[in-house]
Amino acid sequence: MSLLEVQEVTVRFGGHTALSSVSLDVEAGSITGLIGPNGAGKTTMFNVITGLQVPTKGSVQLGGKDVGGRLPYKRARLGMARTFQRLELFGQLTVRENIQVAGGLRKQWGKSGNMLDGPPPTVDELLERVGLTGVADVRADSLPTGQGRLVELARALAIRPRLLLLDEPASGQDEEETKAFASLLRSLAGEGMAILLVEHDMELVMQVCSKIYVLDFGQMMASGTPAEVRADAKVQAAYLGTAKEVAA
Amino acid sequence: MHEFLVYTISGITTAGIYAITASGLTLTYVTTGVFNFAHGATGAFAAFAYWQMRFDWNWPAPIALAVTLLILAPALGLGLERVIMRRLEGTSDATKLVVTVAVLVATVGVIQTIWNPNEFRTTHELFGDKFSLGSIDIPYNDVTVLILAALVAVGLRLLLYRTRLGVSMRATVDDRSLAVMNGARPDRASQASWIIGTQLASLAGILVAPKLNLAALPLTLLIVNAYAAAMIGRLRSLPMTFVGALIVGLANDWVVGYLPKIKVGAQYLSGVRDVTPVAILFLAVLLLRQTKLRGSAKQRTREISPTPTWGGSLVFVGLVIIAAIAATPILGPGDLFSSTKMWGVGIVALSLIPLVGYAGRISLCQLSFAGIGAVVVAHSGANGAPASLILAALVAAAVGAVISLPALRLSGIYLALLTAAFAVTLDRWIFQLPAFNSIGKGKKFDLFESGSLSFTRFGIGTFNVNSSKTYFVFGAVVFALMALVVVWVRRSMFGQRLLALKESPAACETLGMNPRMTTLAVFTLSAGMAGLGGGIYGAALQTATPDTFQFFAGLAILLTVVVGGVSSIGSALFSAIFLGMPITTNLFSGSLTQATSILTGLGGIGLGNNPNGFIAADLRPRFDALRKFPAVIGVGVALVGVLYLLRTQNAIGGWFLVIGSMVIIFGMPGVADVLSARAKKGLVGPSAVSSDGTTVPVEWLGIGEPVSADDLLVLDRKLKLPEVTGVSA
Repeated sequence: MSLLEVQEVTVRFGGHTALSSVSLDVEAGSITGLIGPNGAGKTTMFNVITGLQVPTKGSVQLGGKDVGGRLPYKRARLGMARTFQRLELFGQLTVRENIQVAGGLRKQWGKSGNMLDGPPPTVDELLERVGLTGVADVRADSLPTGQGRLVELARALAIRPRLLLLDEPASGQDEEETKAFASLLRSLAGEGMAILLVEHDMELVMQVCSKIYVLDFGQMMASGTPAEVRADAKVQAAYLGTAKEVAA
Repeated sequence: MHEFLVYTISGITTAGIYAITASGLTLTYVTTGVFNFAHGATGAFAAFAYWQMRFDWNWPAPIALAVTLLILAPALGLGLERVIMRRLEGTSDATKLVVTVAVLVATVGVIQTIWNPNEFRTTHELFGDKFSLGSIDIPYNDVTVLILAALVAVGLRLLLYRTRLGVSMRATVDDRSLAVMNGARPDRASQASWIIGTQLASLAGILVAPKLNLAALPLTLLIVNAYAAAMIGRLRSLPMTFVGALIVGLANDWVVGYLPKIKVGAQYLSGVRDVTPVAILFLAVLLLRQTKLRGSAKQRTREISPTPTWGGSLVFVGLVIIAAIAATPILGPGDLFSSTKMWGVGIVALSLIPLVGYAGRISLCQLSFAGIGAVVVAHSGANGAPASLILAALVAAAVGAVISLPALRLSGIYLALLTAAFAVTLDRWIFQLPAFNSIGKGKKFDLFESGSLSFTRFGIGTFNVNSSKTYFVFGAVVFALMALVVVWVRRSMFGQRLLALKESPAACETLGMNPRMTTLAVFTLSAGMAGLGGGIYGAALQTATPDTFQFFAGLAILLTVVVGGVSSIGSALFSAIFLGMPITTNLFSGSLTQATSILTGLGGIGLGNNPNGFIAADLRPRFDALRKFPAVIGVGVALVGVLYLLRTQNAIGGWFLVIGSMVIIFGMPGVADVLSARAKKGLVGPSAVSSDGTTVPVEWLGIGEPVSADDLLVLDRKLKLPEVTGVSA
């Protein structure tokens, strides 16, 4: 049984269908990609999983528990954390305080059964791990976007979730940073964390993910290993360009 | 049956008036995102202006109406938009709300300055006659009101859905910059909505004035009734707003009609009449669907909320206490007595800092919590037991928790509305209740002692703080302790959570924070502090009436704190001095009694430009620079000390001391500026002579001032270019 099971989720905003009967699974200890053009419904899917968006239909299960009717904070306490595509930093707080707030929350409600095994990391460990030690005492809203995303990542890691949802974490990073980021993701998965990754950097996605889902206009268009997805004619046509263009 | 019809018809008329004003409120909120607390005040202003023309100058009604609605109201609306509201774009919701509260306070101040509130005025309905329908008399005026309300409904519908302007008004609220890119003109749209909104408020003000006395406050607070209607329309839907107005209007007039028939406990229920709309507002908020969590909107200004250090805070509260002790011998007995209340005001102001400053939530009923605290202290502390203060804090905190419960799941504006509703309920009903005779023990419980509470100042054993001098110092000490509590909150994990929740509710929730509990906790804490402040306040006054803790008086405290800078402890001191000491009354005695409210109002209006308040944005940076010049501080302190000594010897007057000290204290940063500028010159001066032969180093050419012809010549020579003559620099 997978750690996260999303079944036939449909989200309608008025007449617009943002997600139409989409299902996906995320396994513990692996990195799963969720890709698709802008407006495909990736962030909406994240909102459904974390409870910020109530779906019109469908169910979300975490560790075999249906979390459908629960408020976002209760879902977080079951062991999921996320980052945001549009940064949601605690701008008036320093980087260190951003992580402290999350760590404090984890201390308050964390039940070991719901969280990843092992002691919650300290703030300094997290700063070190994502490479923000140098800016620890800087106000979070004065950082450039790329570093802001790392603050969000460290903040999410502070609660030591079983499931980590990353919404375009690598945008705003240069090649060197992306490389370091890829190895960080792998080591997190190595600890048993399940990671769902929304990302536009195809190279990164193809490199780190063991499974990839492709969304297009709210429909699940394809899924499989990176090689399978790369070979899928529909994906090539709709997402990477027509087959001819790719061949050329 | 006949009676029922009469009440129903008058209820529908009332509903028509509410509908007119509530639709104006909704219109401006929908198009500009500003919830206008001053909507009722502008209506009141228009009603007074109409009275002036129609009944004082005896102009014919149509002309007076036309001047008010077609010239005055649009001008007022345009002015509001131009001068105030336009600058609120990109500020936080809390700032927007506070600025409109400031407009309310300033407008009421202006009205009461122009039209002396102690004179009695009445206006009449537009049409005096009535016609009969069966056995019921229907006044023509009621019919007119209903026709006007219908015209407003149809007109707004046509405007919003059938005109270009209306479409752009609707687009603006969704995404202003997107609307601009698509060729809409949001400035025009928001101007139009302020003009129409003000016209509707004015029309409603004129229509409703005959039903009430023509007085500024009742007319202004009528807005609470309109809130209830707007809330049923969820601040969005105009048709539902009309339905809401109908519910509020009918409920209001039925209660007015039928309530006197209830004989049991009539003396306790008479106040219910005044709070019917408030009850509906509560219900509406309870039944409202949860608002969706949204991330924080991009803000134009960075909010400043520096973490106070323990060292700095201790110095601050130490100075406060020393200053309080130093002030006691030199204030006259009258001034000292009226200044003792400043610490109560100060503590109520402090209670706003965690709530508004850290959590970004607005409460408009802090002074009502203070009133509750005062009632508790008056009843339980008759022998002056200080423990009654703790009880006051606990009771106020409990009430605060209950009040905030319904609004926890909703966004900030609803909490603000709920607190306003609660304050009005206390004002008009609870604090006015006659004595309860509890049946079993034959004991009497009289909440406000039928109008006036009396207090015993605190003491333990033989030690007490009965005299003005000791009470003044005692107040300062309690204020200092509370200030340290606020500092502790800001430095604690809890304070960080509050700031985090203000910045991004979505992120907090997805990290496992229960936002409702966090908001509840801060609201409860802040209510408790206000309750304690109320006890201190009441015991300072020694006798207090319900008016002391009026909704309107509480607004001034909120405004001064926000003007000072709502995350700085100093702002509470500013509020205490400005509102608690008889400064403004001394300065403007007689001639401009409304000066305090106008000044606070104007200060609040200025927030649009400087949402951080003057302490955080201006004072602190200036005085921080001073720290490098201990000598300047030393000389300044010595000079103030000399003035103080001269005053104790009666060599100089009190005002000389106050003004002299101000000049010295605020002169210190200026002196420091001059010194540091000189130091810089000494340092930079010699090296600034360019070795390149140009007037400034080459890389700085053209940055400070345009490149001069001489410099061009030097450069040309260096580059071995032919000299160009006749070039004007």
